Amino acid sequence: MNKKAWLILADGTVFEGNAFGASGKAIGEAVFTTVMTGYQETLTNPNYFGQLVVQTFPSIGNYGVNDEDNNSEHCASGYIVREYCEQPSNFRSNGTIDGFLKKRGIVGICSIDTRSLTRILRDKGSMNAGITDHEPDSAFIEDIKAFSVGNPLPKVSVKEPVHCESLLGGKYNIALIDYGVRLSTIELLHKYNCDVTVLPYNTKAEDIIGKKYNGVVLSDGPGDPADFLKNPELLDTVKKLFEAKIPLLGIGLGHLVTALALGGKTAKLKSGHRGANQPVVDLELDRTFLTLQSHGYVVETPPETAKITHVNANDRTCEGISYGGAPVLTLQFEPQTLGSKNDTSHLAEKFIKLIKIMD
Amino acid sequence: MPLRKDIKKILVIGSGPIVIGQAAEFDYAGTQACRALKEEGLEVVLINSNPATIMTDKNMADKIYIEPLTLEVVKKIIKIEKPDSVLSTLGGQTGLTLSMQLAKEGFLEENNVKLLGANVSTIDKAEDRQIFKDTMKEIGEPCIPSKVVETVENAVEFAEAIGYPVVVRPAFTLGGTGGGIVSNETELRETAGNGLRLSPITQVLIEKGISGWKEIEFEVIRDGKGNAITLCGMENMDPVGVHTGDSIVVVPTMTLADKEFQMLRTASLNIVGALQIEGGCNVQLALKPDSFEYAVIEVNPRVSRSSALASKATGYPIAKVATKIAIGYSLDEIVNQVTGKTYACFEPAVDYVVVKFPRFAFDKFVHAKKTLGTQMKATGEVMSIGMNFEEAMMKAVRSIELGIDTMTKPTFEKLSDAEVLEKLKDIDCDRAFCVFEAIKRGISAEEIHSITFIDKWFIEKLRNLCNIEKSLADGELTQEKYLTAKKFGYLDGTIEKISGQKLAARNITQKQFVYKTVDTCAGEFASGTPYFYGVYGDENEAAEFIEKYSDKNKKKIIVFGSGPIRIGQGIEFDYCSVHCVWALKEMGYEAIICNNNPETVSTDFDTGDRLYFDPLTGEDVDNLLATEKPWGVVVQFGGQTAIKLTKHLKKVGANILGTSADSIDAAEDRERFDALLEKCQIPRPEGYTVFTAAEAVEAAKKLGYPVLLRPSYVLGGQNMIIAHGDSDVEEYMEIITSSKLENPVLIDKYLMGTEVEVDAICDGKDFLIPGIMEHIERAGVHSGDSISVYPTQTINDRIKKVIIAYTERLAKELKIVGLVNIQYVIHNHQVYVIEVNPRSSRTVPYISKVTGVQMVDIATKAMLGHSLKQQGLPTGLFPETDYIAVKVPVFSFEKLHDVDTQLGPDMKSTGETLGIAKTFKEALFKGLMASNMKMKRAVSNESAHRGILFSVRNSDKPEVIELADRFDAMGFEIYATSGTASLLNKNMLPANFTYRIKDGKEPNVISLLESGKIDYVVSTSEAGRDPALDSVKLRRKSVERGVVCLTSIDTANALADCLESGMTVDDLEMVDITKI
Repeated sequence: MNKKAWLILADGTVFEGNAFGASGKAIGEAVFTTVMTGYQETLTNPNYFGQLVVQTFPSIGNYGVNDEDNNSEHCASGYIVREYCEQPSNFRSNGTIDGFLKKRGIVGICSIDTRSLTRILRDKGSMNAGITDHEPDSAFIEDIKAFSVGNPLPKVSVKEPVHCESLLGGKYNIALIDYGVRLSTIELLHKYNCDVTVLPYNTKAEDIIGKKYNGVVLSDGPGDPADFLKNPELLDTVKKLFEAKIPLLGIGLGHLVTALALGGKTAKLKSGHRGANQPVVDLELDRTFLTLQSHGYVVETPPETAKITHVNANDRTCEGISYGGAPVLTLQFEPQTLGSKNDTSHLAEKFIKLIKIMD
Repeated sequence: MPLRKDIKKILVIGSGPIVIGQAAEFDYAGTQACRALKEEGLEVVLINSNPATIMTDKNMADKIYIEPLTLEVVKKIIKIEKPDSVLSTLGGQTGLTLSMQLAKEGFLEENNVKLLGANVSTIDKAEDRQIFKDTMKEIGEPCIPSKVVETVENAVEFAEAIGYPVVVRPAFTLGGTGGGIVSNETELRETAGNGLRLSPITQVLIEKGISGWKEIEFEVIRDGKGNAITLCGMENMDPVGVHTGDSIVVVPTMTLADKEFQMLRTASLNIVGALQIEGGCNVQLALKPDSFEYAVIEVNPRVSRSSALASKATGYPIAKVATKIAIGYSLDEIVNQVTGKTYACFEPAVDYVVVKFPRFAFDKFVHAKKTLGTQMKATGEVMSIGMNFEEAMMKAVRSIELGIDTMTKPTFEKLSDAEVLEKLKDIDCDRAFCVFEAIKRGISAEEIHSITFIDKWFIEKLRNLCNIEKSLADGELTQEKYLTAKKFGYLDGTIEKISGQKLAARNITQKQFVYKTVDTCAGEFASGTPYFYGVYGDENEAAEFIEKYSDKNKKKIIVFGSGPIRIGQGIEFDYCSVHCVWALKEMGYEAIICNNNPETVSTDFDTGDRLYFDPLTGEDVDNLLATEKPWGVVVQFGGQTAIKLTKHLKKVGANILGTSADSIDAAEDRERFDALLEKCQIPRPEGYTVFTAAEAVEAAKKLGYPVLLRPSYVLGGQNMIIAHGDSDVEEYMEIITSSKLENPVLIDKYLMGTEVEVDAICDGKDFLIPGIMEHIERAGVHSGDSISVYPTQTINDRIKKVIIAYTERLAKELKIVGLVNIQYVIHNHQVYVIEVNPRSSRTVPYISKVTGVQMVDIATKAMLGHSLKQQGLPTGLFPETDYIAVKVPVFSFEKLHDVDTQLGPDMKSTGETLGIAKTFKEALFKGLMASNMKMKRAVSNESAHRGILFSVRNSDKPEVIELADRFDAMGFEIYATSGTASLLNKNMLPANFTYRIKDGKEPNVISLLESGKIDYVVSTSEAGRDPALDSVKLRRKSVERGVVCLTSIDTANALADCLESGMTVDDLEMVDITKI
């Protein structure tokens, strides 16, 4: 039997479980995701930076881990599961989820009634929490209450521009401002024959406009978009890019930041949208698409020039915006390109079309 | 898109009788469909030949026809009812095929009927192998190398080209009937020949064998706008090669990383898009375990068994949503009933693990070939929900009612290690148990995998169970060991048994058993779904639910369901359970259902006030009682499964409504029953209770042969035989004693005579018999396998009076409150009691429908203290109706290899059909036609002649003369084996002599059957279960050749009646039972 561990929520709820993964303690915002596969992608999704991820699916790690399915070098701060698998099986597996957490230094806790925990987070909203493998004391609880993810951008963004070439030859050059990009976003662009230059989050508009770039992608990432208001120069960059009429695709945080830069307002969702089954209505096509999401904030008030193009079918929150005639497309989710008529690849294509028109 | 304006009146085609491959799931689907249509204010016309279903209930549709599901009959009904649309996708393969034929012939167009659900091109694309392949090629989805062939020669040629093993799949057959995997030319010739004959369009697909690949299924729903979602991915524990209906299936997929999962999900969505499906669709895929290579196996463009499973596993009502889509709605317009907040256009997320475990009939058919392949053999299934695979698996094994509560199968324990290894090679219904035994013997996962190709993940999970059991058995039972075992699904009783230690004595603190909700969204949204499953844990959501939503002014009653569908306990008990629940709700009670069968209406979460999807064992039930604290419990509608709980429920002090536990015991305990009959002065065939073979032989001698042997506490005549001599008795006793039965064996004098059956409702004082049924076959054929006629045709009033009097006496003496089923035999003008079942029976649904006496509703009310008089009902025998109803059994022999088709006291049928008409002959004709009995008449001046082959036992010889005479008069060419032939010839009946197989000469019966000259076989000789017997071979050959084989002279005479009448479909009057 594993060592004991505790999960303490900011509201005082204590769950007793067993330690797994890295030992020690971790503090972050506890959020739940309903995805049933893709735990490795989840753990390495920068959106979960500073968060303790709860898996609602109770049996985690069944197919092991591998070196290919990481979304980034960044990780969730902690991992909460009901049960993990010690003898995984899959042809690509080269380790267990337990080993993976240890390697990445992610503190985990298992044997938790994750459904009960999820119900708390659903009803009370995402909240701070801490995992520890030492009997929790009052100082730990104070630390939990005091926790804030702060400004994650300097941590998750690249420090220097990184050039990623598409294997298809690279017809277009894309500047991607990295607020915490996932590998999947870069792969998406590569599929559309785009070479991608990943730029630090604080890159100036001048370093993009008039350069070799055919378009700009504002990536997804962790943290509260409203924090950008404290860094007006970041919003200024977005505004300048917008005004320069350079084709712009905002994904997730990039979508939220665009709205902020143009005068909109964002708000925190009670318990977020985290799962592979988030239905998004494309208002133009009158179709609903299932999307993979991992965010906690939405555009509450769109900018005046904005037109909402997508909404979440469940809570009708904004999922996508277009800006009049501007070559701009922003989405709360990453367009999936699974090669199915039922995916949202047409949105990525739309961006490429914008590039072509401007070319 | 909202409801289509051009739809007002819809014809729904049901799936007909229960057969292997097409079972109760279509009653569930059809019922949901009818309700969804009525909800929209549409007029619903229903046709289904299966009377045991909820969907053929009067309040389910506006017009209900329990008529044969043939093209002509459906056409006739369309002409009468003039519906504007027909729904094709909710009635299984039967409904789909009929709809397609109607459309292809142009009949629908001529009659201005729209085809809803799936159109012809969709059905063709999915079902015609070649068009399917071409479609897949167009959209770049890989298929397995295959070729459609129409001759055996072409099959062989193609197989040589791609190499063996190859899979043979006949086109348009149920559950892959007639298909199989073959590894050489001889096998191919046999299977392909068989498949070609069974395929209505004489086509089979020859396909490259890909054994060892993972089998993954997706349930997809797509609407007219093109929105499509997958409900869940399902992973078969058995790799490709075993029909998914026969495999242990787990939801969601376990061994697929997200990349593979998304790849297959995308493929499924692509396929469904290409087929332009509007509704539900099942996609089966094979995934190579060591690469991203995959192939599409099959697509079912309709609601299927898998969709019923996916519905129950996720809480998403597929049939209902598919129906709404068929009438015009899109997914984003349909509200998700479960959350009430979200829409149907989303994919369910589960936060539990589901295991589906198949139920086979092999415990009954000991001589049947147990191997599994591409042709489905399971009669039913159970589903279980747990927090981990192990827990779900443990819940499943105790739900299938094989007398086990762990993965240990006692027969395997006796094998040597080498034998276990050898046994692992068999792909049969016991393989999972064998894997478990192998693990126990220390055989490595690697080795087990290399033999079975079962993914190591499953093997390791089973090893976990094995380790838990080892640790329990080893040393002191600590709290830690106990908790671990509980977490992985062990019952307290099982833990005590394995550890050999009492929990109480070891100071084990029992943690509570709790219930979690199935909510489609893994807790993301609050839901008020009353759908629960039990797990070991802390937070009891059911208790919360009861606190929050349960009406404190209502008394709570739990209705125990009937578990998996098996021969002898089928859909009729689900019908009864559901009706009981409805009646309880109507009466102002809170009705709670506990059942574990995913194919049924009872496990729809909106049937009762609350649904518990859990095993039906004493301990599981205790946990439920602790949470629900019901006022009362009902056991008499859930077949033997629920009845078996009686003793336990009494012990724990539950308030059993209706007939008391003591009365149930009095009817089932032989000695008490004898005493009861003595007291009532009712004769029964003389008999004894025995425990050993010696006692049995002695008793048989006293009684005089033939004698009937059966274990006490039986189900569906399980393990019942008629013995004609000492050797029969000895053989039987050996089988029975080897299976360690605790209860004694009953041995009775076997009385040949007319069998009569009565279902009665009693309130403790008065009784009502809705109808007396008479069996066409004489006693000796199980009542479930007999053709049953209501009202009786040959019973005189004196006998009826005796039957009524006996029924009254028995009911009163047993203090029956609720339903009772009594079987009588009339022997030499005297009435004898054969059996009393103090519970609902197989015949309740059909008698309720024909007489209009809602038996279960009345019985339920009686159980709650409302006397028959208070309910305004007459007593005694209910006036006979103007209609005659003939119930005809339906068998699935073509799926069960090596099972002797000879009817006897052991029940063999899987389902039934009903014929309703004003005259007996017409009703019989309809019933037989609905049961797929081919009506072949000899037509004079036609070159093609008709043939009938007789091979009967000596006791039947006197009667075979008259029977043969009738067929001779109808112009049939008569063939017979030696004894029968010479008898017939002596009596001036021209019978062609045919050799038996054992004569070793040609032409023998087999070559005669192969010649195609024979239309009917009457074979009553050598009743035996040994497949090596000549007569069994003859009967099996008939099944394989699709030749009607009658094993009772009585059935053959009934057929002759029909043939002689000259009746055709044109002569039939279609009866809308809502008008009766």
